Amino acid sequence: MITLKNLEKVYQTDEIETVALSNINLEIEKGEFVSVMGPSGCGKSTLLNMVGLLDVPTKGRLTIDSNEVEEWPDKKLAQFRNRKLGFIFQSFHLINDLPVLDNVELPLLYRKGISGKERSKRALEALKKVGLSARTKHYPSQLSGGQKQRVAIARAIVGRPDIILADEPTGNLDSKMGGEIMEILQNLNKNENTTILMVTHDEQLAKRTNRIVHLFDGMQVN
Amino acid sequence: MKIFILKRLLRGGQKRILLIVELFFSFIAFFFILTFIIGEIDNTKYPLGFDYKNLYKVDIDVTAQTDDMDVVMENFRNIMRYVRAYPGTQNFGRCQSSFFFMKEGYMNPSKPLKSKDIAVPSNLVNQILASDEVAEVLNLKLLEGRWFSVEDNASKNRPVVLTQNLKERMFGSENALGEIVDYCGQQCIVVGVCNDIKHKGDYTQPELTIFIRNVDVEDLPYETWMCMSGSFCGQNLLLKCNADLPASFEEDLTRKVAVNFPGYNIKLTSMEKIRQKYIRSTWAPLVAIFLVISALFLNVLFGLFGVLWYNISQRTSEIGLRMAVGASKGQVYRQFVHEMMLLTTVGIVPGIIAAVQFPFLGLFQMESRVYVFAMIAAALIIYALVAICVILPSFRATKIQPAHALHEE
Repeated sequence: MITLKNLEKVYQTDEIETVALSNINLEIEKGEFVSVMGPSGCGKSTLLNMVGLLDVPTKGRLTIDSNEVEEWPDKKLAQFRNRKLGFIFQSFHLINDLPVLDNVELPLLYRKGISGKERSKRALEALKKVGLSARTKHYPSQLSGGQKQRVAIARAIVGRPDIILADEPTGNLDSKMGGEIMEILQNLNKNENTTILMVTHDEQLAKRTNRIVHLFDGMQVN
Repeated sequence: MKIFILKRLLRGGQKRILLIVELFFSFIAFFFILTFIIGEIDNTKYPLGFDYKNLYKVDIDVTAQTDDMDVVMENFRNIMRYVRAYPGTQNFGRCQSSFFFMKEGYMNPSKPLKSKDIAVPSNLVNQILASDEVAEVLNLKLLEGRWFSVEDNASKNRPVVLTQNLKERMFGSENALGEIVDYCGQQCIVVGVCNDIKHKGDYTQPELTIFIRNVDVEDLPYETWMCMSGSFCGQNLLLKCNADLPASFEEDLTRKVAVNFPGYNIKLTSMEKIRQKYIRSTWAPLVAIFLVISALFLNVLFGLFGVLWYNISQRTSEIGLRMAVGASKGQVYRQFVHEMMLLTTVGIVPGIIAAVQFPFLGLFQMESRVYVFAMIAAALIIYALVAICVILPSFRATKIQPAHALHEE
């Protein structure tokens, strides 16, 4: 499903060259739930950004769903992200001016051929899956951290992606809330065979996934 | 998508209220200025209605020390005859009115001008007391009837000629010739209708003008209106000349009058020069207005640019999110443009509602289409300004990799 070969990411400024990722080789099968662990600054989020096509690797090869995506133009990358990938972020990244339902609908806005009615229906379905169907008209500021993350999960799954990329999804939540979010992700993985790549600091949560990838100073240490 | 954007704008209305207010006032300011500029330019489409070429304003000045008015009058007469007989001159005409190409208010009758059915307010009527030669000197076109002549000496009613626009105002499509109009209590008879004129100059609208025959000149064509001081009691002496005059004409004539009539000077001023001066004096404020509008334009441009730059920079993280969930750079870019165009419309619509009141209330006494053009032009300027201001920051924002954009707060 996802293949990384000799992947490298170097951030270059005028004075400093920072190697964020070096020689990463990873293969993730369809339906696998993989967690990425490592100390802060070891390149976990960078790895997730590469897989999520949010940043461009400096070297190496990235294949997703048998597609070599390095040379794709922006429009094609955007369409691919929209159809195949779902993102969950530590800081939720909800748009505060929009109610919950509209936040969840967001990915569908960029998909052609979906009517407003269909968008709302799918968003509602996604919210039901995360147990938030009663909060559709609330604004993010009216929700707790756990609820915000559920909205973010609903937004990630509303487009029925094959892959979910979660960047410390429980990082801003207490352990109870974190546990609930983890449960939702596990259910998605089990019931809908969604491939999940999750960055976490929490070893307990990582143990609940199929596989753990460890990073240190931008390198794989398995 | 547009409904989505609109919802967003309404939700964020409080944050955007200052921007909307700025857009509203910018529209109003541009509308005012453009109304005046378009109005002035629009007026040039009307013909001037009189011929100013080869025409001179003549002033006669008495420098001689004398108390003998008979001598003065005789010399005036002789000067007039001398000038009229001078090679290259054609005819004199006299008008008692404010002078041509003067932007100040013209002479109005003291009372409304009345026909049988209609009274035209005096402030809307331009009155010109004219001699029998004026139509020829100014090359006015008689559309109906005739100009004043000696046959009017026998008329018991004072003869008047109306411009076409005044005739239509007073008589509509009916025949005006032979009709009586009440001019300041005098019963005057309409003997002719001539073309519209723009007495005040090129950048004004044609005035509703009534020409009244100067009854003082029945037997003494030039003398009776002269005053002891040498001025013309408010009368303008117009000298029509041939087209092929030598360059030294004015200087030669002035010198010869001074030589032949010691103690008397004449001054000739070309109407073309008077018109050029008028055009300069009209354009000077327009240039000032242009500078003001340029300053306003820059002010709005920088103001909007700063606000939008800040606004979009504040939303870099949102841009990252939108790109993460599948928006292409083009879609994000278009979204900002759409948002700003909607926001601009929200600011402009109240401005248009306010501007629409002007033609209804007739505040600037301009044709409705001038306001419409000004409204459209002001709206286009604002839209263009906003487009300019939104393009650069949105373009910059979409250049960032989504991963980096997501982490910008």
